[in-house]
Amino acid sequence: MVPQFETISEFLAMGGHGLYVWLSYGSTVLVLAGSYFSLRFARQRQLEQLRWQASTNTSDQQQTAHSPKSSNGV
Amino acid sequence: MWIKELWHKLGSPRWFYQISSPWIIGFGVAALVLLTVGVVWGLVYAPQDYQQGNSFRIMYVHVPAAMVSQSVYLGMGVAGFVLFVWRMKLADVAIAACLPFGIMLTALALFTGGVWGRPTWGTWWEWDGRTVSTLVLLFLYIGIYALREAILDTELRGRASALVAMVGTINIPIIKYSVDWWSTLHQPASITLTDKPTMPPEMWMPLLVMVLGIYCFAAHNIMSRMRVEILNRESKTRWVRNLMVTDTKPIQNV
Repeated sequence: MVPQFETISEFLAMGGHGLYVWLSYGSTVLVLAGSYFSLRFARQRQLEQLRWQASTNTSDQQQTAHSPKSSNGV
Repeated sequence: MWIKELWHKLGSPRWFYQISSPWIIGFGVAALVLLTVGVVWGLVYAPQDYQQGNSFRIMYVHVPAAMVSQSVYLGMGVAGFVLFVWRMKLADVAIAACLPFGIMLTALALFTGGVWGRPTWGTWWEWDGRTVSTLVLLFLYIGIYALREAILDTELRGRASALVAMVGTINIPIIKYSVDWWSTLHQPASITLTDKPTMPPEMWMPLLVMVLGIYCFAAHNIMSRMRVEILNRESKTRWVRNLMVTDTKPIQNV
């Protein structure tokens, strides 16, 4: 297997089809990264919330002003 | 009977939550490796097409996106059937989890198709059989999503979306055979299970890697989203509360 391009600029130009090739690959990266990170943030928020709820429910004696932020994700 | 036991286990969101974590990590790692290899192979090493030049490299993202968007829909149709017949809770979770990624992937297939069509066919959009049936696929996904947002009753929501998901699977063979039924700009399949590929191996091997990569990514994404759905629905149950108290590992995406 040999690379099909001699230089970086040749690679970027894609024989005149650079715009189309990079639009396609760019949108693909956007969709995949977007799907991954939006889910990751949703999951993080959810776990912070649920853990905070659980901690306030079980430890009634030590009712301090816990919030999802100050509980440090635990 | 053990089959019945397994069936009950399969239907339990709690069981899925407990066993899914290593699978999600595995699919995630596989997706990362396959997609990295596939993109570099397809962009740099695959030989140019003698007619299309370098624009044919769009195939390596367009074809996997289109294929997997149909497979995800088919999976949703199967989940719809299971939900409709056996009222399995986990199937409803699966339908909900397939929708966001299915919508994004179908939109991506249409977009990259348009971008590929411009230099190849001379147009961004053509009303040919496969393009239109893929547009119908996108509308089906969006329709089911909207339906689920609109219906508040969980029982009715599940059954309604399961029904539409099942009926909509008719569209999948239409997409597949559209290139044979109507004479269109889309080319017939270059790679089939029965015939020899019409592409040389240097060209179809990166495609295979990309298709597998997107499948793994889809499995990773949908299973992760199922876990989020499950915790949402079961947040008031004892096992989730216990889990949240005992499980103090740093927050991960699995």
